[in-house]
Amino acid sequence: MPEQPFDNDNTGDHQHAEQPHNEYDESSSANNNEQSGDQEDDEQGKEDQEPTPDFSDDDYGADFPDDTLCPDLMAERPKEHESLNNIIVVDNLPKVDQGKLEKLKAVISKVYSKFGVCRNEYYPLDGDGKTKGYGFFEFENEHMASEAVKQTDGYRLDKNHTFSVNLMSDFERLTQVPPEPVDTGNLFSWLAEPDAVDQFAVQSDDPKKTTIYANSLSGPIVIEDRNKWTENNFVWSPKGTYLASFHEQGIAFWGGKEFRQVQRFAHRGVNYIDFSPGERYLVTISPRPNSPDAFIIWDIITGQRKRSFPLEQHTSQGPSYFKWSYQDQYFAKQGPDGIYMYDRETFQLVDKKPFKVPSLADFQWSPTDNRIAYWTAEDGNVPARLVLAEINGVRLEEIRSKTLFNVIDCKVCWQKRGDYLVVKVDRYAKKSGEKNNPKYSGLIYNFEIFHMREKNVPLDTLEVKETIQSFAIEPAGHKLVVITGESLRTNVTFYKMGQGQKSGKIEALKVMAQPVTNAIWAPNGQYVVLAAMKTGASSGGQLIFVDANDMSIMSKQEHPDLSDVEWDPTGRYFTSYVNLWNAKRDHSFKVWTFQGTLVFEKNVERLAAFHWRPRPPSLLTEEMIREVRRNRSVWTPKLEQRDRLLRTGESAKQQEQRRKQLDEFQKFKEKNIKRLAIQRQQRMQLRGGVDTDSLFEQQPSNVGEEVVEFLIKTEEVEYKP
Amino acid sequence: MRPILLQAHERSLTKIRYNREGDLLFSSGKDKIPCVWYSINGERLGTYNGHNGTVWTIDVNWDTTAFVSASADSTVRVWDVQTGRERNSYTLEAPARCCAFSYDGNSILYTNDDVMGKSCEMYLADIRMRPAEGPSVRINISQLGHRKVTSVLWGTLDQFIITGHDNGELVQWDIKTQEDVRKEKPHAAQIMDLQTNRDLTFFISSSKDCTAKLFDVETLDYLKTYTTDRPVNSAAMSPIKDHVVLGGGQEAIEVTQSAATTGKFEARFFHLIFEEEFARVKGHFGPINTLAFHPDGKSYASGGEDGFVRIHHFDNDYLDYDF
Repeated sequence: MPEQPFDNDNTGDHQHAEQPHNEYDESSSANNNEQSGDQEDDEQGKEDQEPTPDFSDDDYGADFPDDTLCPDLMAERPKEHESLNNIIVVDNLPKVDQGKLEKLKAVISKVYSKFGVCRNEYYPLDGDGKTKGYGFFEFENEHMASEAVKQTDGYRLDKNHTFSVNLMSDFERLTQVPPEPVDTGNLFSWLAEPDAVDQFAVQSDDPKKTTIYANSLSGPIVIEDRNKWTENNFVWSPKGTYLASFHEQGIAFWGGKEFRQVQRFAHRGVNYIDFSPGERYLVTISPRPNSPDAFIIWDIITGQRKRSFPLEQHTSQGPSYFKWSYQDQYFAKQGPDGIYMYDRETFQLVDKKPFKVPSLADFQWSPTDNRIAYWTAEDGNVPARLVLAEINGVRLEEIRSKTLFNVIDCKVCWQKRGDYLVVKVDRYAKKSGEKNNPKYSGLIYNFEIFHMREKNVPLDTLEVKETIQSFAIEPAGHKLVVITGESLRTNVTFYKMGQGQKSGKIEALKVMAQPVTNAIWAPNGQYVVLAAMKTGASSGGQLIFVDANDMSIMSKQEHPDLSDVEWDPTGRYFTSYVNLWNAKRDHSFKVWTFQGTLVFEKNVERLAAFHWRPRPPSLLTEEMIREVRRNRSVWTPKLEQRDRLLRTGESAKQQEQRRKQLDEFQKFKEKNIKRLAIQRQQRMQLRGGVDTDSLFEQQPSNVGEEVVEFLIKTEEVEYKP
Repeated sequence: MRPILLQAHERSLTKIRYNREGDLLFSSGKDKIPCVWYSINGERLGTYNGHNGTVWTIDVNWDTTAFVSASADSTVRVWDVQTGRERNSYTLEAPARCCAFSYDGNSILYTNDDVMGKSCEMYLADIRMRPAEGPSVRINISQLGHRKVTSVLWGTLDQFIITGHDNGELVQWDIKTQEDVRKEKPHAAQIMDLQTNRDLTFFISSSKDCTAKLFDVETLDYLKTYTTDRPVNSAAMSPIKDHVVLGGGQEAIEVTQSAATTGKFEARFFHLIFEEEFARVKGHFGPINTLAFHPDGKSYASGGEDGFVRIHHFDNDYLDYDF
């Protein structure tokens, strides 16, 4: 495997460009997968699957070769390559059953009749008698066929069906796409680890080294360690399938058991990347002015480039320039006059125009629905508005909105499960100064909380008196942690966002006076860590592990100069780390249990980044999880036994090693003891005949025996006559 | 148990030493006046007045009759332990750095720094002779191609000497031929301290490269490494257990900007054989400059940049604990 994924430039990025199929239809993406397999198999498979219509007369005189029976006639018989040139293959037809086939035929032949006479048409059927979604059409001559291809390729029959048309004779050429150079193996093999051990990657800057660890029960084990894996940074894909490395020429993806190169995306000078949440698309960003493709959107599986966008001066160019909807269906960006939303079928603007939202300030997709929350800034006399909208067809419909006055800024946050939308609103009492450089005084903070799962989406307002440092919503639950106050003198308040009947009532559950800057919830809620990151004012480092069920502090720990923290994807472990940007020395990471017990710590000189490998969302349904919870008493002993087994295995190994070390050292000692015995006389001579060797050694003659009795246990026995 | 705090030094500590029986503890600092204390309760017994500069190193002979100190005032002085009277004074051309008593307690070994255009030299002198007669042996270390000596040890039966240098080198010298017999470079940075175990068969070197290493005295064979994340200024071996204690911390010059927690000024206990750290003792608010184990192994003392000497007696838990 080449260490440098991009050494021969420009070979990888075009190799898929000639593939004929549109990958978005299920059936054709299956074809694609086969194509990446062995080539010979592949062609055979094609023939089996898509038999060409039968043009020969095999029934006649089957015993004799045709050439002997009628040689002159056979000379005139249509040659295969000729007829192939007349045939077109239309993919992405609607899949219909027998009943509707005639209707489909009528529609399709209407499309193709304008190119000439259609001599023959053929719709392959699957086992259930439904069409397979593609068809073959034979024209009278090549010209008609090629014209039909030219004009109907990309033809939109309806919303869901866009034709992909090719000449039959091109088929062979098109299928000769070179197969993938490496067999990437099973990309999900890491998930099959029996103890569900999570992995994490650590990068150090000098030397440039990326190390992947498996966080096994007995402590992290290095599973991969490579120098100069990436030129500046690394990113895990959102489901953890790929590790993306950055290079001058572009991005490389690594995955599978041995972290072999899986895919690469050539984009010179790429700085940031962003994934769609479903891991289907990748956005690479190379912020060079005047470049027509500062942003490129790629299909991750095929490596195909889908669309590119130039750099726009007026908007921020951060990694989340494009925001993706929860099922990768849409992606949107903030334009000069509203939200520009694109769909993943065509990569074009939905409804060919942006959603006009004057003075749009920010918007966020719901993580679980095709809903958008956005807010518009104050503009002259027009007050600010907070809007929740839903995608309905090609329109954006407002569900709920609120008008807000005297707004400086809003921060829009969705809860991970999409149950709540929390918006932090900063408002002012007085405004002075110039228009472009206003000064605000009398700041007021409040939260607007949308209860998404309730009828009519009720809206709550929570006033907060002090400056809000940060806040965090429980990812699966109903709690909100707000950290207020000035640096070092901060209060942590736990709120419960009302639910069901109580909706509209926000309860403050507990206030803790703790000097922290951030609250970080475990991925499944309930546990939260209050952490003090290093700021200008203090080196921070406090870590307070809280069980939000009863608001109890499970433990208080410390990691000075703390840069950042991260939960493992399952919420079993928590890590804190100090990177090179935050401290001059002691770059290290520590792994804690969710209760705050230190499991592992390691110094990594010039640590640049630490990230847990994400996991895909659990396949268990709510019901199944509840079932597991109910049967905890059955599971616990089994799991504990397994843990014990693993631990004793480890400790036995360790003991073995120690015994060896001990024996080795004992040999040294014995050698020295012999030497000492020989030199004893000389030593005494040097010190005027005084034996100084045995000052503290016990003289055997002084030791006598003594019997000592201990009271170990008292027992009262009732005497029964 | 609460540590005993000895606070008499006005500046940072440079060296502490127990006598052979362990009833007395000698200490020196940058404040010119070495002190002697009762190790059992931390009561100060007396001082040795006379030096005119930082006292870098001190040592006491085996029968606790003579005490030697090497000072930046370019003198090495031998004192009467009991009376505190100066017995001998040896004047050098440059600040003295190291001094050590031989096994028989009759000879001293001392070195000077290579400053002010002078070369680093090592001297041997018999304290029974008059100081005017000068040293019996004088070896010019710089001329022999070595760097400044930062720490010295007498070898078995006073037959050889081991020196630690400011580039991390260890050199073994034959006294009779006055030649360097063995040379190793186990450390990447300055060696801060060399200490032997009780029967003088192993020694441990501490270095600014954040490690301490264990060697065989006779062969200089490397045996073990104890790694920390801060410069190690001193390391001592327990006389009764397979434990070593390391002291150090972020260098004093960088300390001003950091909190005590980030300086890592704790004494760290390692297992001698497994090289694993198993305990830390907090207390100093500056780096630990010097460490010594009590000869009975039941307590240890540390002297820090903060000017304090702390005597820690171990709990019974520690003494009963068998690793």
